[in-house]
Amino acid sequence: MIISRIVKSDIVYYQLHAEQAVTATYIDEEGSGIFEEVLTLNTLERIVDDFKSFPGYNLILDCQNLKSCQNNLKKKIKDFKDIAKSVVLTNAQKEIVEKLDLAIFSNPNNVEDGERFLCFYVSDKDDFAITNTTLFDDAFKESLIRYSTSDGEDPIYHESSSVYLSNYINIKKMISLDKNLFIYAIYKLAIKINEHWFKELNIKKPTLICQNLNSSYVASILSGFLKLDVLILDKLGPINKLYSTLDNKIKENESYLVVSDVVCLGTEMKIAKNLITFLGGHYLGNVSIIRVETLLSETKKFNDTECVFTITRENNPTNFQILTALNLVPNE
Amino acid sequence: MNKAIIHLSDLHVSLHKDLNDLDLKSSIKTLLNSDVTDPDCLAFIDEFCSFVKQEYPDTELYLLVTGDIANVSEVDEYTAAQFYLERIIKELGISVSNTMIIPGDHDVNRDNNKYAHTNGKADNPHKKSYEYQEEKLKNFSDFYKNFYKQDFSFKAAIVSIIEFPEELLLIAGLNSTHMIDYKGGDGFIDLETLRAELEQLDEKFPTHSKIAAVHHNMFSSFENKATGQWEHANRISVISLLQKHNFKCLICGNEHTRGSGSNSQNNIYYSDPGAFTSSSPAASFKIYPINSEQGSLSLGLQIFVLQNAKKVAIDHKFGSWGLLRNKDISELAEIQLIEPPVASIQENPALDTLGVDPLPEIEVATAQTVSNLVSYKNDFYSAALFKIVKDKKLFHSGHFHWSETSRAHNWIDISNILNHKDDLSLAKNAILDVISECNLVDQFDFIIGLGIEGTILSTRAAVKYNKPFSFLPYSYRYDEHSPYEKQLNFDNKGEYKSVLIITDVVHDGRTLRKLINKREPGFFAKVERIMVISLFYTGEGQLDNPRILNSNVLEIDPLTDHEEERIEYYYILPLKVERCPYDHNFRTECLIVREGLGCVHHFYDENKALEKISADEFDS
Repeated sequence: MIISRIVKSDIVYYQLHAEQAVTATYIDEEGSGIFEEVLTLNTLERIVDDFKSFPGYNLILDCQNLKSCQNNLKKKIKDFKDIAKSVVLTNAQKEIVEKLDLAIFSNPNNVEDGERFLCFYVSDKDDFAITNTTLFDDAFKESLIRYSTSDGEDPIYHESSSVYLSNYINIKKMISLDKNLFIYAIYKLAIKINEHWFKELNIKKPTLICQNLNSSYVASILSGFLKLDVLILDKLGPINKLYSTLDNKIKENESYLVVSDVVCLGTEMKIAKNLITFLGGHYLGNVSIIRVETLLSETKKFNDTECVFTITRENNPTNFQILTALNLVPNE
Repeated sequence: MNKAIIHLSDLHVSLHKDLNDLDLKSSIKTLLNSDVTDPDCLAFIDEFCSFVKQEYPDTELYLLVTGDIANVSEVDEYTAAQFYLERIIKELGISVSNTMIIPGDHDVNRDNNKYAHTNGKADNPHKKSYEYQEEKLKNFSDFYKNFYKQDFSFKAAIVSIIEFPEELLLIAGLNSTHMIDYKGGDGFIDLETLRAELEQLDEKFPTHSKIAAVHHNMFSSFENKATGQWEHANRISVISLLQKHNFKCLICGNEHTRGSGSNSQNNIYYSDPGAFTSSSPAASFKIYPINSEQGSLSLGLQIFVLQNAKKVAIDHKFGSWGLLRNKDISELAEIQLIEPPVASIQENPALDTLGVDPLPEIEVATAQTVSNLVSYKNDFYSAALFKIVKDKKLFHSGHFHWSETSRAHNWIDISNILNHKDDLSLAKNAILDVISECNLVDQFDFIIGLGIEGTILSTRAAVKYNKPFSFLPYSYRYDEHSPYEKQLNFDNKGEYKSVLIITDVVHDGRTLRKLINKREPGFFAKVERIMVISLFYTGEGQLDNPRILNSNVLEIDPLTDHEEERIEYYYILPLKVERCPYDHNFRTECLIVREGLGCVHHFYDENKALEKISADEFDS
């Protein structure tokens, strides 16, 4: 399974570390998830097999987050070159370029940045415009538009927050029908969690809390990527009824990250936060695939959230609106 | 007594300080360094020993190390390597004579080799750099002598042997560093030397099965040469010689990539354990239990991988050892050195005289008649799962009501099993093991996770087998979910003929039959096989019958249940729970409920259910 392939016009893009994380979580049983730093043959073989469906395309192999590679990958790079029109590595440590025996290529369009190449063309002459900065965002936006549903002109009642929505982001449909891209989004969330809480705040073992079917799917995959415990706090939100064993689940002084699929007004997240705090746990924050930014940046007090895609006034591909009875005219 | 060979390779014990005494530990990429007081290194060795002891009690162990003992072949590296290896053999009770250590390319000291070559130019202008065997392997040979109390043979091709007299098995250790010099190089063995030594070996051990142990790999398909890291012409000749002298297997290291296989062209097995101290990819080693019975001889092949390496929240930062248990990994399960003799068919003359009819021909099952279903049995996973339930005290007694018609006096708190990442990982792997052991790989073309627990359990299978995937709430909780959560999001016009459902607990299968026939009848209409896997089976049916949940096996109530005959059911652990003995009259007949004598745990909205009952009664 390839999660990071994005095709745009004549370019095919793969994020090698994301694929390595899949190998290290799901294919090579019990690997290190996103903490894997070395590209292995198994991963590259999977990508070569996938790329065989795109002969004549320009290929971007993004090496971000990889520090090295196995010594036995040279033949696979040749396989890529045989299939592709041209091949470029981005964000590649120089050690990777050397181990792949690619230093023989000297392309004037290569861009160095200290110990890595921001881009390295696997050819002396090739050149094509690299647009990998927006590839994921563009693909995710397309998926978001595809799987947002509306009820005609009628607003949709949002059960847990007593508001209306102009349209519904059908995350479950994205999970099912855009499975690979969605897992890539979860990988990106795992990288952000690692950067935010593990590296910056040095918090080592928070427990992930999931509250419904969608977030249980996200939490299960995050647990594999990050090697974290998962706690099911079922029956929050619309049902708002708790298992009698709840107080055994939240442990005093332990840290918890609440996992959501979409954070709109944050009602369910706040219920979870209150419960965690009430029972003596340490609420670290909320992570989600999509977050609707309802506050202006100057109003936000805490930086305790991470998400993969933020819906803002400026970035609102589905024209998503939160409405109340006070203002029940969409787009007013 | 059982016997087993531990195969380590590529230790790469690395210097922890440079010549100026500056600390190098932060830049070391392997898990063993030359500081023998380093608690991480000691813990790594001790964890390894205690893990092997636990996995192989009452076993006579042998240790085989296929090269790259040191990283740059410095004296301090070997001093530490000797310390670590002696600690291992002492802990595991391995005698020195039951060990074999052969050199790899990293055991060539490049500086010594270059120095000898440069200084030797005057006296020997034609002597090649790699020919300075004694100089380049001096530090290794000193280590070897300290360890074995005997000299390392520079000129020999076969530098060491281990004999197993009872099993008539021999392991010959080869030195493949002949052509390695200060610039590197490929594996190479002098053919004439090897030929002569193999002939001597044949004379001494004419009937033994033979295994060659060597550092460089011959069968890698990874390199751009596709022939391993070996000098091309020499490789062909060495393989040919080994074949001629009855070598059945080649065990090696070098690539830091574990693997094994059977080379059909050369009719020879090969196995590489991966690097023992690699931090990424994960460190690994192998153990080959020797199986010798009734004229056959084989080596089992068990792969141990350092799991949790670099993960957060672990006891040791290097991780913990674990056995790869999935059967569908691309490694051999066994290396067959001598095939078991084919049992001859004994003619029974009495058959003729008694005029017994020949046996009727057995009908071959067609693909449609799935009659030979295999029930699942794996003591490891069932015992591990049971241990979690017992240790965490997750099997509860009381009154547990899931719906008006589903009540029991026990409850397994599954969410607490899935809570801890290691337990969750074990549970997910158990599901994969069922798929593998019951021959379900490639048998399903759609996966459904059932309930939150089933959704969490099914993610590894969904990614690993890369099939269309969705998830649904439990049938008895459908009303509690929003319409979007209840959508499967896939139509089925016949493209999904076999569906795999993964869930946590199954009792009598009513929930499943309801899902199939009431919740998603359109999707399942064209489904021919419905495979269900759960962690626990809490019912009381025949345990080894995968058809146990079908209505033609069970007695079902046609008013509240559904006819269904397509289910194949597999579970990891049977753990029977007691059903509530009362019928719909439980509110008046059950003393506990009626009088409120004890706590009743409701997993459903009782008020809503009572309202519905009242409305139905009113309508009727």
